[in-house]
Parts: sequence; C-alpha cells; structure tokens
Amino acid sequence: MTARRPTRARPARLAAALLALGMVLAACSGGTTAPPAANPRQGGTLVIAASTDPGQFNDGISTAGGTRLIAGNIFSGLTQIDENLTAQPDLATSWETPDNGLTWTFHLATGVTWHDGQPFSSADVKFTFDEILLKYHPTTKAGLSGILDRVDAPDANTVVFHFKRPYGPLPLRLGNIDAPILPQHLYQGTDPLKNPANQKPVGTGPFKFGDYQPGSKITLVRNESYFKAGLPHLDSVVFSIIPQSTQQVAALQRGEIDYVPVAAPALLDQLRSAPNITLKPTVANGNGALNCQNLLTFNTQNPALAKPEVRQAIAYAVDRQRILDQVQFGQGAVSKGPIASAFAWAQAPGAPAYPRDVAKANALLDQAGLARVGGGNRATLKMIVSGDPRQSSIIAENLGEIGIAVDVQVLDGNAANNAVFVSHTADLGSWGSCNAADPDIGVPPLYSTSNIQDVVGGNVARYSNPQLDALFVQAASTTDQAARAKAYQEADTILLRDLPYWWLTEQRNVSAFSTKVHDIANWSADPAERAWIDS
Amino acid sequence: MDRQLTTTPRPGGQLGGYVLRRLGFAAVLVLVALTIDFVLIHAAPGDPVTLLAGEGGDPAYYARIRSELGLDLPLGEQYLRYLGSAAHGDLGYSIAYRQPVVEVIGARFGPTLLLMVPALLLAVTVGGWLGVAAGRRAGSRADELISAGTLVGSSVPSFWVGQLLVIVFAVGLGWLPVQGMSDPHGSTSTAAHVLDVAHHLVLPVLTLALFQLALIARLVRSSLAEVLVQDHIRMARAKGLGPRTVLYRHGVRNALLPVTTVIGSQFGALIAGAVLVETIFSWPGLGRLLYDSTLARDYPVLLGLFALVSVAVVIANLVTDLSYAALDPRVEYR
Repeated sequence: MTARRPTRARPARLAAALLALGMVLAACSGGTTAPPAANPRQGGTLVIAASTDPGQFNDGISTAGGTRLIAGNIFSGLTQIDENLTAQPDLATSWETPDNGLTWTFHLATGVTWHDGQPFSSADVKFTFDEILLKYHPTTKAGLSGILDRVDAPDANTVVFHFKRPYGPLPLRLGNIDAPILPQHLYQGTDPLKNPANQKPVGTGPFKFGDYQPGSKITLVRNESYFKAGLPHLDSVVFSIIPQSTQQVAALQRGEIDYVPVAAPALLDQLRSAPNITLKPTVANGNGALNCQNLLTFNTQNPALAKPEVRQAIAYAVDRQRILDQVQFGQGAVSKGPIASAFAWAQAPGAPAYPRDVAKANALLDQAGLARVGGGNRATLKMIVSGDPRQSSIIAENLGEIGIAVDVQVLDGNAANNAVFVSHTADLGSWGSCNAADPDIGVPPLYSTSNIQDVVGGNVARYSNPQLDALFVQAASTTDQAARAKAYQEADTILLRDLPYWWLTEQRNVSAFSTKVHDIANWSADPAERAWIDS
Repeated sequence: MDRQLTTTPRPGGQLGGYVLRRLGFAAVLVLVALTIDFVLIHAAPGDPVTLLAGEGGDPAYYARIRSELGLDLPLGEQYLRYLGSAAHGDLGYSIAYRQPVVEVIGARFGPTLLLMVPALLLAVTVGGWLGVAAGRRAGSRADELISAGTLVGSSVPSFWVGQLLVIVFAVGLGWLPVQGMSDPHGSTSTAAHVLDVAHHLVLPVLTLALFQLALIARLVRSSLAEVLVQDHIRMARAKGLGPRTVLYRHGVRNALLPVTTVIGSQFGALIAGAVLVETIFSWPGLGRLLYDSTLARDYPVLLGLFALVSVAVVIANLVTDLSYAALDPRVEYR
C-alpha cells in the first residue's frame, strides 16, 4: 500500500477532529475573532508568554514543556501536525509505506540548510534517531526503540524506517515534538546532554536562536534561508518568561506581550470583555502537547484500591461535572474514558459509564467488604497533588460521602509527581495525560505491562492485561483505519471496565492574543511559522 | 560580639583586629549555613532527574542522568566533593541551566542590585523622614496619620501589594509596565533602554520598599519620641539652640543608633522580599533564580545562592556594627 499523507484517507478521524474543534469553538464563542489573512505583513516582533525558564533548548533529550515551547520554533520534524491532527510535510515532502507499515520511506526537501549554513541531509535524520531520540527522548525511546529495526539513509534525500512489525501511525509521531531533527555535525562524538549547542541551538526551523537572558527572555530571529518559500513573515519572536498566569494576561492586556498560549480559565471572562484581544480555543496545552485529560491515579499496592469494585465506587462518587464547572470554569468536557474525544472513532459506543451515583458507590464498597467501622469511615487514603487544590478538595468531599476519608497533601509539581509515580507514597494522585496526535502515542504508556516502571508518566497503576497489550500492538500494526478503530474500541471497553485510573475531565484550552496577530498556530509547538502581525 | 561602651571616645580603636576576627567567625557561620542548607535541600521531596527527563523515559535513562550529575553518589561524598570544589571557587554546574553556577548567579546579580539599592534608599530616606515627622510631635494629627499608615504598610504582604499596584497602575491606568525588566519588543537606543528599565523598576521597587519603609518610619518615630523627652534635649533647648539643631544634632542622631541595627538585620528580610517581588514582577534577579531553582531542584544553584546570601548577611551585619563608630563616638571595637 502506498500512503502519501496517509491520514487524509481517514475521513472518520477527520470528521471527529472537526467535530471536536466545532465543540470547542462553540464553547468559546464569547471571544472576538481575527479577520482572515489577506496579505501577510512582513516584519515585526511577536512576543509570546513563556511560563517557565527552559534552561536549555534541545527537545531531543527532554519532553519538558518549557524547552519544547521554544525549541519547536527552531527545530523541524519530518512531518508537521496540523490543526486537524493530520501529518503534513515538513522536512519530508512526501512518504509512503509499500508494505502496510513495515517499511516507511520519507523523501526529504532539497536545498535545506542548518542555521549555521551547513547542508542538511538524510544523514542528520539517521544520526538523530540512532544517537539522540532512541537513546534520550523519553517518549520516542519508549514508543519506537522496541519495534524499530533500523533507520537507513540510502541517498542524501531519502530516509527509510524498517520496523520489526508493521507500524501504522509513524508520520504522526515524526513532528518536531516527538522527533526534532538535530544537526549531526554539531552532536556527533559529543555527550548530547552536555553539548553547548543545547544552549545555542542550531536547527532548520523558521527561526534561529538569537539571545537568551535567563529568567527574562529568549529572542529568536527570522531564518532568512528557511526552506519554505516566503516564510516566516516575522522578523523575530521573543519569549517573555512570566511565571504567573495573572501577570501573563495583565501583560497581554497592556500590550507588553502579544500571545498567551494558554490563558488561565479563571481569567477568560476578564479577557472576553477586554478590547483588542482575540480568543482561540485549542486542544493543545500550550507547548504542543495535544488532547490532554486530567485523571485520578490509584495506587493499587493499597489493598483497598487493588479491588476493581472500590475503584468503580470512587468513579461513581466523584462529581466530575462539578470539577469541570468549578475548576476548569467549563472549559473542556467530562472525560469518556482513556481515549480523548478528538478520537471518537476509537471510543467504544457501549463502554461502561459511571454517572454520579452515591448509593451505587456505597453498595459497591459494601460488596467489596469495605465496611464502615463503627458507623465511621471505611478507609483513609492519602492524596498527593500539586497546583490548584480545588480539584482534590472536591474529590475529598465526594469520597467523604461514601465513607472514604481523604488526606490531601499539596506539594509542588515535581515532588507530587515523584510521590505518585516513583516512590508510590500516595494512594491517590492527579495526572494530566495527553493522547497526542494519535492514540498510539499517548494512550498505551499508562496501561501497558511493559511500562510498569517507576517513572513519571509510567504505568503507575501497575495494571497488566495481556489482552489489552495485544490490542495496542494490533492497533498500531496497521494503517487500516477500521481495524485500528476496532482494536481501540475493545481496549476502551476493557479499561472502562477495570478502571486502572479514573478519567476526570478533558482539557480544552483557550489561547489569547492581540488582535494585531494573525495566523498563529495555537495547537502547534511551532506557532509562529506562518504568523504575522499588523504594524 | 566584642563591642564595648567606654567613657573615653576612641572611634575605630583596634578596628583591623576586630574585622579579622569577625571575618573568621563569618567563615565558620557560612560553612554551618551551607551544611544545614545541603541537608535540607536533599531532605526535601522531589528529584531534578525526573524534571530534566520530562514525562516518560525509563529507569535506565534516569540512572544515566543521575550518574552524569553525580547524584548517584552517597550524600556524604556529594557534600565533601561540593565543599572541596567550593573551596577552590568552583560552585559546580547548574542542573537546569547546564552552565557553571558562578555564571548563572553572576548574570542575575545586577538586576537584583538594581532592585534592592533603590528600594533600600527609598525605605531609609522616606521612612526616616516620615519617622522624624511623626516622632518630633508625638501624639499630633500628623503622627497619628503616619503611624496608622506605616502600621498598614508593615502589615500587608508584599505579594498582595504587588498585585494591587499592578491592577491599579499597570492594567487600570496603564501608566507602568506589568512585568519584566525591559520592553520585550526592544528599545531603539541606549538612552531609551535606560528609561525603559527605570520605567519597569517603579512598581517592583515600591513593592519591595514598602515594608522596610514602614518599619523604619515606625522605629525612627518611637526612638525619636523617646530621645526628645530626655534631659539632654531639655538642656540643649535651655542653652538656646535652635529647634532644628536640637532636633537633628541632639535628637535624630541619638535616635538613629537602634535604627541602624535594625536596617542591618533587615538585609536578609530584604532578600526574602526580593524572592516574592521578583517572582510577581518577573524580574530576572537572584530572587527569581532562587524560586526557579527550588522548583527545578537545581541543587548546585540553590547552594550557591544560599552561600551568597549567608555571606551578604554576615557582611551587612559587620558593616552595621562598624557604622556604630561613626554614629556613636563612645563605641570602641576590641
């Protein structure tokens, strides 16, 4: 089979993505909309709010969001993920798989140069996969190293991926988030973690590294030799490091910055009534991660939580609509399960659902043998979370109704993640899990037997189900959309029955930017490639 | 502290020996502070490795980063290695910035000084002036107003004041910038840049200065009010000295002695205030670095900052003690 831009042959998925987008647009109809682009103006500076100081700019060795937000503008991938979650050409102009995913051949753009003037070739791609991504990039290493046999570069403009078994969604994980291509001439023979190019990155993307003032700003300047004719339009992009979301919005309102990738939901009303601000919904989380959900993690080493009935009881008890309304201010949706609604084709129509039902929850706990001791609590669980404590407060209140006392501890993100995923000192935790551009990228890591390990984002539930593992392999091993849908729907049903986690809400964010800014790709880690700004 | 009051005025007596002894004592103090900081940092929950790797990865990858950062060594060995290199002026390598700690901290020094020096000057001058205005006529309407105002000023938390100032002067009136040290869109000339930075300084300096200003005003007021009812003031007036001379030469100068102690001891508080203010206003100084490095578990940078703050506080206290001689001729150093 030959598949050029293969996802275009997937009408069901495209329709699902458009439907999701429509829902998001409807949810955010209060904002003004920028007029469609006429003639993009050349020049100008776009100032983007960055929440964290990245420290380094190589997103081939880290998935840290702060790095990705900047690096996405500097490095290119072989493909680029568009707003409809389909793979579009980037460094690769076309691709095909003659054997239904066992071999993938990518044809590269010609005349591409690195920001330092050196020519780009297929050798850079092979080097990046062999020496950087498959060794250091957390998700690409986890997702591809076991199934990718080798990468070949038969000529300067061709790259061939040989898999041990067919792999269907490859083009969707070759965007610059999961597979940024790095320069071989700067990284070969060095320790990639300590290479000085991590501080002064050299890529092939629309913007070149300019200047970094730690704690203050990062300046990128136009790549005059960018391989896409006529792009970019902007002279420079400045990332202003502003940790507080309230300050980001205040700075936007005052015109100090032009673009806030994700505006805090609590501030959206304020922005809707503000003049000269455009609001645009997105399924991205501000640095290119797509289709994220908030979920409740269970420590199944706790004997109570090891029982499916107890987890089901918790699912019945938690008021997810209230979390959506009061914590996310209505932005998003109540989750249906492990698969985000952008992939409705992969969600099982008749999968188990758990509408809030306190009586049923109590009955399930009785059935599980978790009786109220002397009319008091059935159990006490320790919940360790970070950030906004309102979600955990609601959960604690809801579980209190069914006799489960929750001791909530609020730590910073790193400490909470370590307590939940690494040291397992928490019974309950919260986690944002992103399905990404394809379920194969974001779904299996939390549920696969092979990922039962003490790492942040690993299978913290220690859930192991050979049938599910086989379904994930089946779904990834084909480019046939119907076969993929069938496998994912079965997996969806199994997970919603066993509930290794409880999926609370889907995140839908809103970007805010000055009405002077046009054509900003707010779903992308490369938002400014086509953006332009009025004088 | 070997400070003694004698009846013979010998300003600056045996100053050199005193300073040397104090510096030796300071070195021990800094070492103790660093040891406590080292233990506290490593006892706190969290792990820089999981932050560096981002989401996903595998235990082997974690182990590899841990080994490259030297975090796999026993804690005692890490501590001894750190002290060994610190003694040679090498404060290590930043985990988050992947640069030598000395460079990381050095780049943030200027912005913090730019914030702290005007804030301290503002606090001392305006606070001192308000304190004198209130203390010279204790119980008057002016005194009541100033005392009430400074009570509020020393009670409100700086993060709240900062947000309030932003809402009123930046978002509401649009007079001053919300955050940062300069306009990210850039300046056209050096002069424009200087003006731009000055413009960005106003709100953070006011926020940082407010607490110290109120504290100094209250101290000067109470100290001056006490001095002004003493016998030597009555004597000075009886001698026919003018009211200004009595107030400043005999009143304020005597009242300043306890105030100096407090200003010196407030240096540490000022740094703590800078952490909050720099975070609120996205000011790229040492306080923000401390905040960011704490979240990033950047142990070497945190230790470097703690060492710097310990040294700075010790020096501030030393300078305070030395300034006694200038203010009070009766003080002798042994």
